[in-house]
Amino acid sequence: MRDDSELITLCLAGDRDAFDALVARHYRAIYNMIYRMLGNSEDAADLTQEAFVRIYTRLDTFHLDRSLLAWARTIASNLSIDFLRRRGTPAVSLDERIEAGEQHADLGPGVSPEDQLEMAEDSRRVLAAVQQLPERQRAVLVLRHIEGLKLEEIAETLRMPLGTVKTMLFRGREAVRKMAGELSGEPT
Amino acid sequence: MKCANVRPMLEEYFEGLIADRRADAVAAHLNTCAACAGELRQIELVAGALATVPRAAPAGNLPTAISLRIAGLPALRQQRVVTGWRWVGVIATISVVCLSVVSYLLPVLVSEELASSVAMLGQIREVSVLVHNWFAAAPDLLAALWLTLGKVWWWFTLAARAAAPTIGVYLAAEIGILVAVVLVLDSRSRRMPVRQTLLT
Repeated sequence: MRDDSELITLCLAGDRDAFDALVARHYRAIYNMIYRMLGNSEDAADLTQEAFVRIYTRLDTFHLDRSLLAWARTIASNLSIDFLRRRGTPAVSLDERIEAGEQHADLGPGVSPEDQLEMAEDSRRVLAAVQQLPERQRAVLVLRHIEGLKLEEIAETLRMPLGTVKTMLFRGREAVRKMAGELSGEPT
Repeated sequence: MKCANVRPMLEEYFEGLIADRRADAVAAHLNTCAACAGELRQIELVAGALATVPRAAPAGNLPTAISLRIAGLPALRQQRVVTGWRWVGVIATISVVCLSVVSYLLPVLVSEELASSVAMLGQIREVSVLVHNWFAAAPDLLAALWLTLGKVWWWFTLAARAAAPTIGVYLAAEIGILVAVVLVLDSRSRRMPVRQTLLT
């Protein structure tokens, strides 16, 4: 299987199939990140398309020694932040799939159905609270906890000073705690 | 440590961002203070709740939709040609300016004998303008823009040489306008979708 750098080189030589291969490799990650920021699957799908169009038209400015996914995250975050600014207050809350209690990932085999329900309820409340945060705070929380990025990586992705990222993360988490109320906790 | 000192540090403590000695002091306080430990627990729960959020499944036709959008754009090879033309234009214009500046300064800086070379330099400048125009004759909008700019620049050079009271004013005007033109065109070509610059 070809790596990202090889595919990008082929794209720059005019090979559209190579770009399709890059899309197939990364669209889920980009869609998920945007979806967690916007809380709406239709908007997330539209913005994912827009992000890949932007990646395509700017591909000749991409440095092959960087990570394509990191660059794509930067583009997707900027698009999401711009979209949220234009939209103002959220039009709708998170899609019902979360509220309906999808199976949580990586919980291990020993988690009881009751615990799973409690954790789903915690996630629902926390995600709903995240949707109320200002757009840049929201982006920091999504990148830190849902995407699992380090603080330095978030600073690079959002082109913010590290100190600003820390401040936004701490304030955002505090705001979420206040909005979400007391959480029941994960199983011990 | 007291609760009032520990509470503001809990977020940093959770992220592992405070120095060992202070972290030890916070940990010691947390072992004895249920309220602060509960506060830290809530931070952990928020982080945990977000970390275990299930992955959302995008619609199955999303890659096809992206592919269709991309199919409506020009191939990247064409885009790179346009980028190349932009730099040809920049280099040609810089050449024109350098030659015109040298031809202006030479009679002032060197002896009478060498000053006769000005005529020759003038011819070189004419050639550079011709080369620039030849490049600019390419069938795309950006190149046509450069062709027009080349002509305007030539008229400006003639007028500036006649009107400038000192060499400094002439140089400042030439360089200032060159920088402004390059910056404006460069930002314009970055903002504008590349497909709009192609005639083909």
